[in-house]
Order: sequence, then structure tokens, then C-alpha cells
Amino acid sequence: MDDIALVNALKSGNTNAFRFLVDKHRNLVWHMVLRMTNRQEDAEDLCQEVFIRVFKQIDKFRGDSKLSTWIGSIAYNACVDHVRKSKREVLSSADSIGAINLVQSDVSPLLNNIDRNTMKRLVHKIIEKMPLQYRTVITLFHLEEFSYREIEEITGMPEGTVKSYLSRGREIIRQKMTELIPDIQPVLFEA
Amino acid sequence: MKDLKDNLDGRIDDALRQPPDFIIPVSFTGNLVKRLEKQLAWKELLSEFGIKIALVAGALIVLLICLIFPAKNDPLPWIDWIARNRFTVAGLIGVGMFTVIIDQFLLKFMFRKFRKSF
Repeated sequence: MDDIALVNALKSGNTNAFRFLVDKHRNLVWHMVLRMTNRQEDAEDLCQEVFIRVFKQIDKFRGDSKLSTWIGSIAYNACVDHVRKSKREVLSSADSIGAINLVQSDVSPLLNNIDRNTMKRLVHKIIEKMPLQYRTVITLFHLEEFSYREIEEITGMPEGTVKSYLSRGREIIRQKMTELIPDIQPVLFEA
Repeated sequence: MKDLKDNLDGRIDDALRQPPDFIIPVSFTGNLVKRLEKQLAWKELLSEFGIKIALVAGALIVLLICLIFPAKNDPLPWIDWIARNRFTVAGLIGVGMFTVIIDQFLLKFMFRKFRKSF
């Protein structure tokens, strides 16, 4: 079922179409909610809220963008509202990210000895500590593979800002790695 | 050194593309569709109930206008009786409305919920 047929079915109140929509886009919403709120406890409720909003606002979808982009923007706004309400978000700058609490014995001092899973854990821990905008942009670009333009549509941030967050975010990840993997320090000095 | 740098960038890229460990519950879609169906059922029942109430109230208003206006200077005896027993009448209307709510609204909703659990 393509986006237009799906939207038309949703507009007529078809709950089977809604089920199809949720199955198709649930990973996008789930990843955004998890990364933006950093709260597993609230994730399921907030995801449900996002899809209910999508269903209620489906008449506003004009087809100017992809359906996934439009759903992403609803998820983004819902997460921002949630973070504002819960007031849990520390509005720190990217430079003031605290120490990454990992068990040091898990991390080998040599990059080549670190397995894929540990690397993932390290990178994800660093992302968790980043400010909201960085987490959002990194998730949309790397995990959901949206283009700069689409991220601009979802978040309302100008394309230049999106690029800047991505580049600065990667720099932060590399810098934080040096605290955990001494082997790569010369690489960063050289860079 | 360049190899190590490329290796680091490649491994960061790979880690960034991997989803978080916490996965979406299997029952997510089912629970969500149930929640939506419940909301739609409430909405449907509320609008149905609203229309019925509006129809009855509208009919009563028209009836009263038709009865009161021609007899403006000579009020009908039963209108006088209603005015004197307004609390009793209001109570009876309240009981009637409650019965209609139970019959048209809550019972239907309970029945739908009960039927789906089987």
C-alpha cells in the first residue's frame, strides 16, 4: 500500500490502515522517542500518543512531503512537549557533557580489540549524554537515514544548523572515545 | 595512523547506525489499535447521544413555543401546575435523562467492551 492509498484509508477511519501505518513507522517513532526523552519508562505511552495524534491530524497531511517525514515531525513536537513538561532535560551545552559511566574493564585500551557490541554501547552512552538537538539530529540522520532537507522539515532547524550539529556531534564522540580508549589518542591529536 | 583513524570513523559510523538495545514491545500495535478503537467508540456514542438529546430538546422547545404563544394572556392550567411543582418535574426529567444515558450510552459501551474480551 503506497502513502496516498494509506492516507485515504486513514481519512475514512479505517483501523486496519492504522494498524498497517503503525507497523510500518513504529521503529522511526520508537527510536526518536527513546533518544529524545532518554526515558524507557515513558517511551511506550509517548509512542502511542504520537500515533493517536497522527490519526487525528491525518486530514492536515497534504502530501507535500513523505509520510514518514510528516510522522517524524509529529513525533519531534510530541517529544519536545514531553521534555518541556517533565523538565528533566538539562539544557547543557555540548561542551559540558559529563563523564561516561562505563565499566572501564569492559573497554580494551586497543581499538582493534573492542568488539562491535561494546563499541555500540560506548557510542550510545555518549549520545545519551548529549543535548536534545544533537541526539535528535544524529538519530534522524544515521539511524533513520533522513536527508538534511528532511531533517529540516521534521525539526524546523535550518539545514546549516543540522550539518553543524552532526559534525560537532561526531567530534564529541571522537573526543569522548579518547577518555576510554588510550590507543586512539594520537589519532585525534593528528586530526 | 591513518588506518587507525579510518577504522575509528568506520566503527563510529557502524555504531551510530545500530538501533538502541531497548526494543519496542511485541504487543505495541495491538494495544494501540485497541486504544484507538476505544476512543472512536466513545466519540461515536457521544455524538449519537448528543444528536438524540438535541432532537428531543428541540422538539420540546418547539412544542412549548407552539403552546405558550397562542395562550400568552391566558396561561394553560398544566403550565401553572409545572411552575408550582418545578422541583418534582426537574427530578423526573433528571431520572429520565439518566435512564437514557444508561440505555443509549453506557450499556452500549459496556456491551462492546464485554463482546471484545471473548
